[in-house]
Amino acid sequence: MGKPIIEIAIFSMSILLLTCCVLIFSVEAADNGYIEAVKADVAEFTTSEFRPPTDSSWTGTVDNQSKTSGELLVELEDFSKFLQDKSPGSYIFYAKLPEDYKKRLHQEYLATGNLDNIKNNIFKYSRDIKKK
Amino acid sequence: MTPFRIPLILNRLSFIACSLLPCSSIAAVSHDLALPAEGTLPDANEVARQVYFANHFYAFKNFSIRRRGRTMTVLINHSKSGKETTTSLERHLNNNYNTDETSSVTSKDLAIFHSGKMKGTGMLVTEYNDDTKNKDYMIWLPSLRKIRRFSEPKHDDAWGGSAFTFGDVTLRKPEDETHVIIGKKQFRTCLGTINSLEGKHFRYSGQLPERSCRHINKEVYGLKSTTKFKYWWYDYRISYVDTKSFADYRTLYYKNDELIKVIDRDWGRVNNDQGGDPRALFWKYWYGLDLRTGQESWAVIPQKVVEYNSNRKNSFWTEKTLRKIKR
Repeated sequence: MGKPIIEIAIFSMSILLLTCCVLIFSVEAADNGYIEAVKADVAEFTTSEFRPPTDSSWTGTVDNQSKTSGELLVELEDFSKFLQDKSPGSYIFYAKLPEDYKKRLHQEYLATGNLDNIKNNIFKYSRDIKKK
Repeated sequence: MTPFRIPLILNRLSFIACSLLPCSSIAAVSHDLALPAEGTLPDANEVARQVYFANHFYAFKNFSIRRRGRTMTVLINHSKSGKETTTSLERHLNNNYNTDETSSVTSKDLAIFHSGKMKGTGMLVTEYNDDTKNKDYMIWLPSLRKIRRFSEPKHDDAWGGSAFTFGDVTLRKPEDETHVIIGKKQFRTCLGTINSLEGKHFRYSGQLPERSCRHINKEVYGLKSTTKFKYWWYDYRISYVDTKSFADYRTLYYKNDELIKVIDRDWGRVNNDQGGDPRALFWKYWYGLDLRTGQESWAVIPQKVVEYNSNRKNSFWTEKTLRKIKR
């Protein structure tokens, strides 16, 4: 009678311990690298020199920028290549669109940076043209 | 809902709503504030006024972060202990009152909550031309099926366990602080996010964004703003303000020369139909980190829910809409 109770108690304790461990390891503080990068950035106002923290993932590059925002895709040609690379399926429809529609899509992308919307609009414009 | 809980919930509601679109405040900055003349260097006060203009969406007739199917704006609060709370909502701001000089209203702001304990609750904030007149805060409480009014919150109120305050997001006016430009340089770092959630799929918003690095290398003013309030929670703050669009990408708060809080804002540009006004911007996300408590807040506004200059009639911003909200 006593042995099962002890086993149950040990089992319960193990579960409790495991839960505690999971909770402890799941606690995540804000990234210290972020704060270091922020401090290095603001220091430039006084020192006139930017000294980025070593191996910081918060001092991104312009290359990363162009991938996510389209901010640098100022030329229609660059935008077309970007679209072909990112969404070859949508590009097939895009390539068939008249030039003014392409320019409109390009402007929309520059404005919003939202590729999903652009893809939707490609199909929308394709449908509109077919109707005409 | 007990009567004792109502004021608390009203304040909480008001905070969350205001953190995602500005509740319009007493307008010291007019809706037709002109851009600084090209080639001239604006002074610090002018920069502060332009930042206020951009943050209150004065470039638009109306501005909404609406609901599209299941996609909505979401506010995530993440405490140091790892506890996470989520609120989803839609907001509609109407600045289309200035044309009518007989109107006493400057703007109206409607928020509807779609998740959590506040599900089905709505809030309508009315701002008046008369600076001495307080704003109207009307809340539709679905459990009571009644509208209640309450007074304007305090600047340093931070409800809902969030890292933002009412002052941060809406109530603070340029004349509440003294401003100095401390320099002009390039913005150097990515904007913050809640690390553990970056790029992950999330309820309401779909995929959460990754950290925004697209403002790196943009030219910014360093604007140091020292509060005029006595015994205040910060002494001064430094904002990074885009020299062209007046978007404030980052604000750093200091107390006794110690960095105590960071707020980052990712801004997007709308199409060129705003007469080329570079201040016609919208928020993509807000990130806040309170270094005193370790708390993080992240308000994410999916691109597809943003709508501006829509054909909604002014009658949409009335009590009638509040009463129609379904729980």
